[in-house]
Amino acid sequence: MKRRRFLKLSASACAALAALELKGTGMFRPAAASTGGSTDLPGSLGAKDIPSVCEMCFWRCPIVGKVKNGKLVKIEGNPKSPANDTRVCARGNSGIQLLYDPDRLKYPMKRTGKRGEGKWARISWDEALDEVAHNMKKVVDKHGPHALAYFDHGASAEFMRGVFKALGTENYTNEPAFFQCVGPAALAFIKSMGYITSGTRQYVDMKNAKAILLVASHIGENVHVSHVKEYMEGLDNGAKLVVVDPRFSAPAGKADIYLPIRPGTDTALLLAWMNFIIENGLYDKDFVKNHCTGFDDVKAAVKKCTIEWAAPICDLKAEDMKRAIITLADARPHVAIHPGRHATWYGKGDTSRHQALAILASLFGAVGVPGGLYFPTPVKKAHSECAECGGEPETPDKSIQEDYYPFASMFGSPTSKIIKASRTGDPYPVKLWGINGVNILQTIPNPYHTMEAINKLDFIFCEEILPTETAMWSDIVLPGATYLERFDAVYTYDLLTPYITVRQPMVKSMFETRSSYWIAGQLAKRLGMDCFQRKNIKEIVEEELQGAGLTLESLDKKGGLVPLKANPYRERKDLKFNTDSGKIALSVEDYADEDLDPVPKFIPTPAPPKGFARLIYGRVPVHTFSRTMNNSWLHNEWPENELWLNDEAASKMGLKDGDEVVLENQDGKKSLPIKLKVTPGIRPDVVYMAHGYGCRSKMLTKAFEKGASDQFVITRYENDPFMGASSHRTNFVRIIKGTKVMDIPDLCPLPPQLPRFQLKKGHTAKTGGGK
Amino acid sequence: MTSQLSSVFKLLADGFSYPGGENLSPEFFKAVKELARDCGLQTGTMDYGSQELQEEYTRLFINAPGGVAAPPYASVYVAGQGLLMQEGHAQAQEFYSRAGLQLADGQEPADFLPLELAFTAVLLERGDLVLLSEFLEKHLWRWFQVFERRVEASGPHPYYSLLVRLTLFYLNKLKEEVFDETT
Repeated sequence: MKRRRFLKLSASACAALAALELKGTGMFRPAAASTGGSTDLPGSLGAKDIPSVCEMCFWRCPIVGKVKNGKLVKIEGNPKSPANDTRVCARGNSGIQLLYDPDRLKYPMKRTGKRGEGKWARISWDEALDEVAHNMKKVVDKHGPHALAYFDHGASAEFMRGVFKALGTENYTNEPAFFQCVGPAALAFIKSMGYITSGTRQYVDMKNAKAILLVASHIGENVHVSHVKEYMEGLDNGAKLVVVDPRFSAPAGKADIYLPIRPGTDTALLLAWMNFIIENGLYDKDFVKNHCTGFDDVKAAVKKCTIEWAAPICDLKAEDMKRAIITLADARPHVAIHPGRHATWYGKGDTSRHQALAILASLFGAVGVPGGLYFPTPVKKAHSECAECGGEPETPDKSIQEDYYPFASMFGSPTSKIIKASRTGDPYPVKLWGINGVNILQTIPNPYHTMEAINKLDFIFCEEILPTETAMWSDIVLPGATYLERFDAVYTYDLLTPYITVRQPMVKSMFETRSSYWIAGQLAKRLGMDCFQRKNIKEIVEEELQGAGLTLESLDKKGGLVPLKANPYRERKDLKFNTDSGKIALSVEDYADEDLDPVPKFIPTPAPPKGFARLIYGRVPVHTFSRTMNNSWLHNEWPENELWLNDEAASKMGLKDGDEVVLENQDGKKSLPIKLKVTPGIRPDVVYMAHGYGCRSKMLTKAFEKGASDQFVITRYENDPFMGASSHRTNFVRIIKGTKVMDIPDLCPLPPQLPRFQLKKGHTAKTGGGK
Repeated sequence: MTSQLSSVFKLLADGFSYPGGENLSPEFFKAVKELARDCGLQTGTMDYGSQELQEEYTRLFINAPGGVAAPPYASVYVAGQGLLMQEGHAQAQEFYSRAGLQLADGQEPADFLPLELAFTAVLLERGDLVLLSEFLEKHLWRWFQVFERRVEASGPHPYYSLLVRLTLFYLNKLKEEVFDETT
């Protein structure tokens, strides 16, 4: 070996270096013995198994993480789980790509450019939390507590909800999950049957059904593993499937009877079916007599709603409608009337449509029986409550939560009214938003109004995992730990295969990300609240488990999950509903008390104006809304969405499959470019795209501008008059190719009962663009 | 001489840490400037404000529109996986473990550039040139070249442009003087 000629530093460089206190070697310490699994074996072999709960979607399947050397290498279904057993879906498998995504948020950030620009500087947790607490106090002092509003989603958002609640705002929750999704369905079933038959989960026994009705439920396109599994088992067992959908969806492909209904007319179909089974004696008289109230009101309300009346409205053949209802009636009471989930379609009539589904199930006696709607099995655990956050805030004289919609307060403050109050100061100014677990710009209709509202706020902050559009618009961004890095509450599953399990960290949280519990606790402390007194969330988990006679250690020994005995069905003599009468309310007096229809009525929603089609949307099985679009595996599977256009319409327009187009809606708002899927599998009066694409956050490198966002052409909405949810299927689009604005031909003649949407005066064709 | 070089790598480790406190001090900038002069690299007055460097560090290395210019983690570059905590991370951990070391706090992934530069300083301080040669040849020097090009291509602030060039200069020197001779 030659003599080394090491570079010599100049004397002045040496002196300058010597003057510094450099961290250097302090970054390391002598190694301790390894505690991780063996690294000698390939892949996940030899890894340590850590049971936990998925959060790639809200279904939350039990999973097992394979951890080697402190690194998560694989995710599988928890074999102890009676619901999904070893299965996880594509998203569940891909959690690692979220955990280790270089784009994820790593440290608290403060905005240094304009809102939405994405110019940030990293700050310390102390500075970030001090800033949030200071602004919350300032807004409360200046405008009162109701000037604070919280947009939340998911179990982990509940901790910070407590902070907003304790500060006294009535706007401590306005969950897009209710006001943009399941609210109308949830309300309808709570009021009719006394329990939330469709909320986070749907208590519908497709596995043991002899017939299944899906009204625009796209099982298989939206994947919740145990739900899909039970649906498939039901079909395997020979259940007949009736699918009502303007589009030939994945379940339509499996249907015995497929009804390509005109959008907005589902309630007309359901009323006609009720009329048909009542007139023909195809309902369960014993069940209706002994377990329902209000039958006569329903009978009177549907008297004129014959199949022949509904057929031209729904644009369906009368014989197909009859064949379908007879198929369902023949299977009674073992008929699964799916209660639906995403229900915010047209505003007016959304709650009524789901009430109609509840009535149909009741007329079939398909409640509390195998194959019908069933009851949740209560799973025993302790509840860890905080007294300070427990009380209800005072309602102000003019109230967002109470004054607009009679049943809104069951779910919180309607999102659209929070946005309006922030934009206009009516009924009072809202000046600060906290956002947790929801990407509001890709979730709430009219994102342009949302951005306008944000620009009028004194302060906005969010807790996020990825730098979404919402993070880009926030003043302070708090980086949350993923579900793979934190404890959460104890999870119970109360469907057909109940269990108790717990989410626990598989790996140490990366960078400076923190759990929601820690963040909420630190914020509470700065606001002088006495909340979150436990040292950490693990103590809460232990406390809740104690109520079930378990500890984390004993649960881990059992594989992280304890299956429980289900109690979904009832003998008819034991049937008792949590309603005023103890029976199912077919006619709901609470609605009548608020001058709303106590029984469902068909309220036509305006049809597309000439030259336009209605925009509808759905899901792809490998993505959860806009949340998973930056996940490398899932992005690779389904990188962009397509616009479904009817083949006959396309041919008249001279458009081909694969053509790139832009949509322009009735308000002149344009989408990002999207490729056409030309297909006979959609009606000519609608176009369809999967939701969640068309990301506008430049910080998400894989998702940015891939496909088009439905949300950015959903600018027009109506509110459900019962609970104030915002409609999503009340927008109309036409197609721009290159610089040519093209009318969509009118191939579905309208009956006189159905009005057309009137375009604003002076609405003219706009050309070009796309961004 | 290795202890002098060790100080250089400690300085570079601090330079690639988030700007705040010591690494924003006039003394720190003075040392960077002296080293740059030693290497024949041009520098300006180096009168930088904390916010401009913090914004730029965030843009280059943490979160930025269009994605960060150059994620400072080996895992993103090694085997082209573009993901954190993969092969590049395992390599770094393996080298630390062979040196009988582990991270003092586990907040940053083991393959975070400042940690790898600090590890280089440790090996220089110990005079463990055999392990250093392997660490550079099989790991740090390989991915740092791609990292350096990505930083330079992103129109960086002159300070970070200087830091990557300075680091490349010293890594190249080490390559010439350590592993070209030990292999």
